[in-house]
Amino acid sequence: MPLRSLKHLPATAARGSTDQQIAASAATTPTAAPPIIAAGPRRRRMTPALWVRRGGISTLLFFVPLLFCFGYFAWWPIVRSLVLSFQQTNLVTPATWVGLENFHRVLADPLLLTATLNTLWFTVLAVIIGFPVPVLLATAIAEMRRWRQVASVLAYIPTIIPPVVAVLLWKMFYDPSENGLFNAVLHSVGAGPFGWLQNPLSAMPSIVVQATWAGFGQTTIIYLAALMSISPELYEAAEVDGAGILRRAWHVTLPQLRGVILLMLLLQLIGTLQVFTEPFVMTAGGPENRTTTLLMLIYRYAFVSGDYGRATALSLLLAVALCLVSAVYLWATRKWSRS
Amino acid sequence: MQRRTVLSSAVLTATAAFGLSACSKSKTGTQKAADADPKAPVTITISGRPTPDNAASLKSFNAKVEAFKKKYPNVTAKTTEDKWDAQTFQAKIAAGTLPTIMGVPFTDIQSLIGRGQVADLTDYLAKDDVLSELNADTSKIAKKNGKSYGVVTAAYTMAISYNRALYKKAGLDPDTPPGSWDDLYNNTVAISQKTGTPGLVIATTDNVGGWIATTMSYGFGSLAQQGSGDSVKATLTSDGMKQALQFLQKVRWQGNAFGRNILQSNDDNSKAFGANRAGHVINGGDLYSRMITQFGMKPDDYGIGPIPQADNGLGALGGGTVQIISPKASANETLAGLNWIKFNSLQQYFDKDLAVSNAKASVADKLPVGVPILPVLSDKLNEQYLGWIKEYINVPRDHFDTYVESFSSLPIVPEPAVKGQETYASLDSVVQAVLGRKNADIAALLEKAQKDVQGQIDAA
Repeated sequence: MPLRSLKHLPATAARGSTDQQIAASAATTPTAAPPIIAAGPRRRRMTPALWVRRGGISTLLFFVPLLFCFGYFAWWPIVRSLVLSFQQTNLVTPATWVGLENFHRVLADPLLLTATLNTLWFTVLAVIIGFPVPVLLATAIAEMRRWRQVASVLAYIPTIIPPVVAVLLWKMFYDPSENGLFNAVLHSVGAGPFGWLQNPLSAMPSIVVQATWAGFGQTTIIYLAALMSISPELYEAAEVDGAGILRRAWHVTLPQLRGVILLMLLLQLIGTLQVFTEPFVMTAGGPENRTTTLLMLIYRYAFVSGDYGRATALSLLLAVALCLVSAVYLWATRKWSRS
Repeated sequence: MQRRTVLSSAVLTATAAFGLSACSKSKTGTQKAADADPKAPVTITISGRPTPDNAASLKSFNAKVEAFKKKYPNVTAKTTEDKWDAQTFQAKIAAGTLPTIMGVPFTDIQSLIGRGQVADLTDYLAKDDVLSELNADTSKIAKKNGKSYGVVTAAYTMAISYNRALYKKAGLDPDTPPGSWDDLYNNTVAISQKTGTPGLVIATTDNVGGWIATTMSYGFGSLAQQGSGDSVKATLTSDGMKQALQFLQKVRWQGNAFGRNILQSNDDNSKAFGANRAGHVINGGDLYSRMITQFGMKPDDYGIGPIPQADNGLGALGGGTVQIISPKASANETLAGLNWIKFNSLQQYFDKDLAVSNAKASVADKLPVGVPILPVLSDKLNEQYLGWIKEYINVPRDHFDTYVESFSSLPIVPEPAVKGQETYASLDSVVQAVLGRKNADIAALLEKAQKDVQGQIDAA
């Protein structure tokens, strides 16, 4: 799953919080945390002296590096981008304010619709191909009695290969001549050769297959962890009640996994809507702009045309769209995630 | 958990979407030639140091920098491996880490000037004996509204490079480059049929496809853009552009001589040619050195001819390298930078000893000496220089004869000046369609590209 496309962006923070949440949701022990601190009979007013006595200074000391890192490397660039989207700048002389002109220019670009549809097409394909693979694989690995560790290591290996290297490797696999790996294999059974990335119809699916290959390991491991934390007693009880394997999967496994599934799906949506590396390296957006995505458009505005105002304007629009997608998603799944 | 998810996904979303950061410092150099003090201590950063895998070039580069420091003891010269790259250029300008001197391809210089991202060198060039001698024909590439923004240190015209070994294999005469578009087609098909190697391969991505289509269109008699000032019109639906694309269509689908890879970057394309996997390529006339030093092509296998011209052909699109100075450089840095440009690229045309010692060093390092390119100074200085280094020339210059003759007969036609890269980007798609789909409707594709490009020109 192309969670990987998050990799070049400040994703460490994202991944960190994901893991925490997974740990939280995967924990099966009831977490009715007993109130430890609120033991005092009455709430005393916080004075500076009290604040210091309670370890306020050391708290602050621990907090400052975090504040600095996030502030300098994440929040400040966000603010700068916001400002830039209303400006025109050549990065040499001071910027000028241009109001909403950058947004007008983004919306007037005939490629915007193409890129949006391509990006959505990638996301749909990535969910169709990339979502079930790790779930099924994790279930299969969880069922193994021996070699489980080996299987999870093997599943994780593609994640270790740096993204660009993996993409270049696949570009060679997809070589349209008879010498490409896939075409050579197909040639031996008398089929092909196919222009995997060259054909306007197969280019995007080919990219999705690569992205799925590169990303499924990580997601599989997360699902596996969630699966392993499901209490075996639930399965035993279901078995006593006469439930077959399918009914156990439907009534025990899926409900237990649903928190993780919902979260992973959301992350996948956000990640895939920002796909960049794979089409950038494999096809440069071709053929005929069939694989030009929104992030590639942003990239072209900024780094080919040197038009930072337009690039940040589109970034902002994308960010707003992603926030909306997330909100709608959470709203639509609220019932399922609570019950 | 619900609330935390919302919050963290919002933060995650925002952080991820705003991948672009910009920390620009608006420090501009004073850049007044009169302020420059040639003796003041100054530090400059020279880009273009060859990478360690290119050991011979690196050695020769380092030796040159040492000699430069000796000649100009007040200059502290740092070097970097940076070379022109449209994307890192922007990032470096934003971060204030652009090297003082940078080589920029012809194709990008006008947009950099338009955005005010290069230093104005007009006063410096006028004051300098060497720099004021530059070839006016090529220098105009780096001019806008009478001001000069760069020093052209290498110039070429677009050309047909061909593989002489494959010519022989296909029974063609390697000393006769294709003289017309029909010759090119016939030779291309012959190579493909007799050797099984694609006869003609061009790069099609990253705007290079559009660059080549425009080059071909010039040869078929049509510009890609006309007018100037406020009335610039894209002319992509011209007969010349149509014929250029029909030519590619014929090579791909009728002659079946293009190969199957219709998504090639310029690098893929160069590699394929250097590895003898292409009969012809359409590219800059400066391909030779890279083919020999980087891709191990045999000097004897490299052949080159001018871009064929139809009866109403306009000439050859010009390419090359313009050395620019960072817009943030101070007057002293600018002066020192120009001194490096002169020392590195031009001094050898005036100084016999330097010319000979440079040539000797290059020969010892097995680097090409005497590759024919367009003279960046006058023809006379160029002839004199070639006379000095005669015995060190290790390039089979007679293989370049037809190409060199074209310098005097073919006009150099500049690139589309307004939204050039955007024009090329739109044409990329058209080229990919023509090569990728058997019955692509060229007229309709060009109609659409024309509309897109005109829209961008009008918005500029």
